[in-house]
Amino acid sequence: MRIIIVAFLVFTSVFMVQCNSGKEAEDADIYAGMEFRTRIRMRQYMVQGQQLYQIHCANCHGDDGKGLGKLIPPLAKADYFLQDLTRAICISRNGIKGSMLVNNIEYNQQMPDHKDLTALEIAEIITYASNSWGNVSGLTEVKEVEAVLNNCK
Amino acid sequence: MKRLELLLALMILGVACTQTLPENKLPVLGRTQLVERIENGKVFYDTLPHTVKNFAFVNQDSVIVTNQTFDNQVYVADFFFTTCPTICPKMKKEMLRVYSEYETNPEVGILSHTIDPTHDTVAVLRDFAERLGVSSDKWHFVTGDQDAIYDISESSYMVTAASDPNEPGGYIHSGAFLLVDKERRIRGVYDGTVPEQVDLLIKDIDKLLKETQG
Repeated sequence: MRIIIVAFLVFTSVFMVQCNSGKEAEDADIYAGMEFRTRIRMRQYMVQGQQLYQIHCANCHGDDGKGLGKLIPPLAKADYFLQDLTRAICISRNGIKGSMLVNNIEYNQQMPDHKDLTALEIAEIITYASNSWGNVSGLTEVKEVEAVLNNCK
Repeated sequence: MKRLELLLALMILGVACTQTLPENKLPVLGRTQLVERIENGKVFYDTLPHTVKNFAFVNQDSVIVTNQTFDNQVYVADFFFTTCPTICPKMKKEMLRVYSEYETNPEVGILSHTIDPTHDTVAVLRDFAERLGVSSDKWHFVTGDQDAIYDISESSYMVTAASDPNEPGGYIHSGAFLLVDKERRIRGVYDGTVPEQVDLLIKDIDKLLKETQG
């Protein structure tokens, strides 16, 4: 009986260690090579960004960032989004109309504007979305967003 | 040996219990109607269940969709509009799960009414359905007279749909999915934006299909 209990404990502890290391590895990718301060800030942005994403973005782009059919484009592994975060910042604030090509699929659904979002909120959302679901784009800081927003077309 | 017998007895009991349990049926929702009927000079009162009244709308293929379209089907109804910036994409994502679950089952249909017929023409609905990747003989996106759509939403399906300039997108509407049986009766109401509710809907559709089979 004692052997069984010991075996069980060993098994569960091995299992738990494996799970934790998996999580660490996932985290490590998006924080790789960052300075301590940047890493802390990035973590804050990710937490805030997730909450804001749920409120303002997830209805259409989905909790998983996969969008909806050929109606709403994905954000996860999406070239249109990741290749030009400056453009994405402007779209977050001002919305967009007309046809666009995302991962070689044509989408044509109007996205509403979000004039109520502050530069900080947009920075947090962009940081969250560009570092989730396999995306790895580093931190988008509020200063960058402020500068971009002043020059949106 | 005794232990084995006990185990066996318990197993038999378990089987017996699951077999004798009555199948719990889904409720019939809505207000019943009392109707007077005179037969051979005697007055009878019939209690009629709430049913979906007659309708005729046009779907994404310009085909007229009526109650008869769903004669041998249970169906799920909802209200949406294609330019809706709030709950609709979530509803459509969830409805897509219902669609995939019953894609090959001819006894299940889906009926999505647009509440913005001015913008959502047949052509717009067709493009919408194609982009969603669904076929029209299973999932009908219908448009029609705005008043007729608002009226059927409230009188038959008991949900809200109306234009409201203060709402994002310009319309106020419920995110409900309504489950309708083959006798036009409403058998369930589910929040189409909540995945757990849609899981329940799928379970209830199975239950409803069994009910009509036997």
